Amino acid sequence: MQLELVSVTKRFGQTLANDAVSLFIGAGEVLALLGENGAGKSTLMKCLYGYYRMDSGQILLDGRAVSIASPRDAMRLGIGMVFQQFSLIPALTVRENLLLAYPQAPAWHGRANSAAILRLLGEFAPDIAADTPVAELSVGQKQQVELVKVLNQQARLVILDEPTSVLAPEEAQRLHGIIRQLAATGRSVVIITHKLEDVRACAQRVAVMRGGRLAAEVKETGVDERRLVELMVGTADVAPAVAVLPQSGITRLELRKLSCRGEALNLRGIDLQIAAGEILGVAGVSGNGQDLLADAVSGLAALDEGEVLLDGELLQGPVTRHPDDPRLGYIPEYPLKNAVAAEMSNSLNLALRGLARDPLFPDRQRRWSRAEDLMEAYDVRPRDPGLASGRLSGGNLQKLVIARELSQPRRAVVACYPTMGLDLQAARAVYEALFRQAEEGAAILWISEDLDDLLSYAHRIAVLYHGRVAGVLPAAQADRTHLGQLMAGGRLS
Amino acid sequence: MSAMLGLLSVALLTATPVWLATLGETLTQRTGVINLGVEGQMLVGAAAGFAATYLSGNPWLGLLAGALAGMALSCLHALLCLVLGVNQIASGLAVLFLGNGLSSFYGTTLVDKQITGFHSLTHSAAARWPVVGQFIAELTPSVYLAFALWLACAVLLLRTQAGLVWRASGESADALRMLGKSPARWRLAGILVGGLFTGLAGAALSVDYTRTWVAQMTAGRGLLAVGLVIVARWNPWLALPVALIYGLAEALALRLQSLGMNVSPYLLGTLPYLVPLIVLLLSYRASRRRGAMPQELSGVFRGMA
Ligand SMILES: Nc1ncnc2c1ncn2[C@@H]1O[C@H](COP(=O)(O)OP(=O)(O)OP(=O)(O)O)[C@@H](O)[C@H]1O
Ligand SMILES: [Mg+2]
Repeated sequence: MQLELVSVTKRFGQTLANDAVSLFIGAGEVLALLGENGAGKSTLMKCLYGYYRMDSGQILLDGRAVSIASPRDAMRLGIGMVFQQFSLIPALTVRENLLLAYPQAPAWHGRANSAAILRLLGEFAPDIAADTPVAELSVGQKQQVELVKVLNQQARLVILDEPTSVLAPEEAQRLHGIIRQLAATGRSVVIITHKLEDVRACAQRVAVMRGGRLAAEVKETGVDERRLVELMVGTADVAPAVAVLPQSGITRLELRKLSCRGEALNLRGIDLQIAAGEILGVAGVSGNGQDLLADAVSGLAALDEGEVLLDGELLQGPVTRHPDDPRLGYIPEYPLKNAVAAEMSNSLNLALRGLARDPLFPDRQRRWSRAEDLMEAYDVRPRDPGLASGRLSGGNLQKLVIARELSQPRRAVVACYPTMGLDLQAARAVYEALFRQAEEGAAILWISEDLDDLLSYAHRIAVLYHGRVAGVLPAAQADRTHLGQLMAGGRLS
Repeated sequence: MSAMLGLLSVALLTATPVWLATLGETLTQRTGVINLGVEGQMLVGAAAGFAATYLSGNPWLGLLAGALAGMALSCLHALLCLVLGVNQIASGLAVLFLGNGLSSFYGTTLVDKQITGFHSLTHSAAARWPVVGQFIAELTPSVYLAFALWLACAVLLLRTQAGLVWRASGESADALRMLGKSPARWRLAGILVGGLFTGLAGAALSVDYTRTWVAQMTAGRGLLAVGLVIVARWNPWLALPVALIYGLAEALALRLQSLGMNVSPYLLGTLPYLVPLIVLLLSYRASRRRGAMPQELSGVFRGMA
């Protein structure tokens, strides 16, 4: 199937999300769609999938103009999409989610007649049991189910919106394999991504968007990495400019025998010490207790045992908890859900820390102008303090949270996947803000899935496995194989 | 017939209207809409059902008329919250008060009228079956109708493709939209089917159970049904046991009253409402942990349709 977008334009009120974009997708081709946050990548693909109605423009399928007014039309034409935010229903089982999206689903759901629906599941994800509720799957497994769902619709063009931003390295590699396999069977794939690894691993052609327009189109083969980065964000220089050395000797943040009960698994006996100015990276396959660790240290989850000390003072314990301590900055996982009230304005969301200490009638004017300043300083777009935070693109929302948490000096910062879904430039800005805190003496607990970044910027790396610390290594002595072994539950040799 | 079976049959007879209403509201809420107007729909169903039976002499026609009347009133809820985007709580309360007012106003002519309900089964062949014969004969057609509907609904909802989409629209409207399906259409169906069941519940009460019409005769059964949906954790199968708890408590209260207990009948009358409340409290933790609530219901307070 050959597909061509001709001069697609899409506007949201004031924002011109797509400005006359034309794009060609060949049969059996893997096209990587790159571009900074808010460039309009998701919007363009949602127009193609019929989720948004484009304001003007045309879609040509094998040279013939087709009208795609709803996802139903797109599916009928063999176009499938995996959204950036997953569209699986957590309360339903894998089988039910697949049935829901299956075009010729049987009217009666017996045990016997879902074999056709589960065939591809067995092929791509043999380790997922069909009757597990989706809520119990890991992120990587959800992704696989999403993909099977789309393939079940006989999709000949598969659109993946930032599929690897939530995946651990091995899971991402597995997905790359699946994508290559799809292309080999004649299906076309569009992969939206911020990661150059994805481009290297499976793309044949690269299209770059910037500011709603198509900025460049290149063949993957032979284009060098710096050039790609430059095309994406306008500069090739994306390494953070701050290099910090830990001020050894002073233990700033200390976790002592910390145990905590979670929904899926428990943290048991976590002992960690972070010096002033030290960046402690936490690696691990997602779902090994990372988010619980972050919640426990920042006082959102109740501890069963143990304590968290800041400068030798009790910060969190089984009895006392200080979730909004001004000395502590917290960047949680999934900011839309965990860090902001999505329906409320940016100005209020920026003022959330310390809200309990505000007077009964806060100074709205000051709150507003402070929000304007912060949004300017951290480049949150659109720069509108009155806009509901839920309306921001993923990257801009993350910048908003960073602005709130890191614009004041902190003694300790807990950052949980702080660059998830960010473009390289935005990621750099986040790292700089984080490392600047370290430079000023904060202890940083940095949870990440990006081993390369951890190895480059962290001073020490702790590996979390099944709710325990499997090992702590100085970054200088660690390498991917080492860490990989620990992450898989192995021991250091 | 043993005393236990006797109590059970009284409980079933008492519980049937509540059972049907709980079932209907469960179906509505599984599409992601809450309808607090159940009480009003039951009252309209009870009045229309009684009137139709009185005029035609046929109780089956009465049940049908009651069900249709309930559905007609539920259209108002659909119009208000699906089309005009009114908050569902406000819209449901409007339906409740309107149903209450309409049935009281048009029902004044029905007060003290006599109807002949369903023929008793006590002299049929089934009554002579061993052990359960008497029990079966004690029950009335509306109990059997409720039983059939209960089986059909639970199976349709949990075992078919249509039921799956029905449940999905209560879990995530967005997910449904991404599949190119319209959640609003399923919610309309949810509201209308709920109206049909609750109207039928009201008719079962006036045509088959009390065989009289009195203004506000549902006496809170509709609101109770909304609560019982939560006790039953939105599971249609559990609508029966949960309604039975109410029925047993009511049967017990009646028994105690007839035994001449020296307790105010008003206080005894709260028993059928208190017992499910206690069950709700006890089951609350469990239901929270298992996250049984359709996720779209949490959007009710955001004023979303
Ligand atoms: N539903 C919407 N309503 C209003 N504005 C929107 C909507 N969706 C997107 N936008 C705006 O359109 C622009 C493009 O957004 P889009 O989501 O396509 O970016 P993106 O390239 O996918 O970015 P990211 O890498 O962060 O996912 C942004 O400025 C965004 O704020
Ligand atoms: Mg996007």
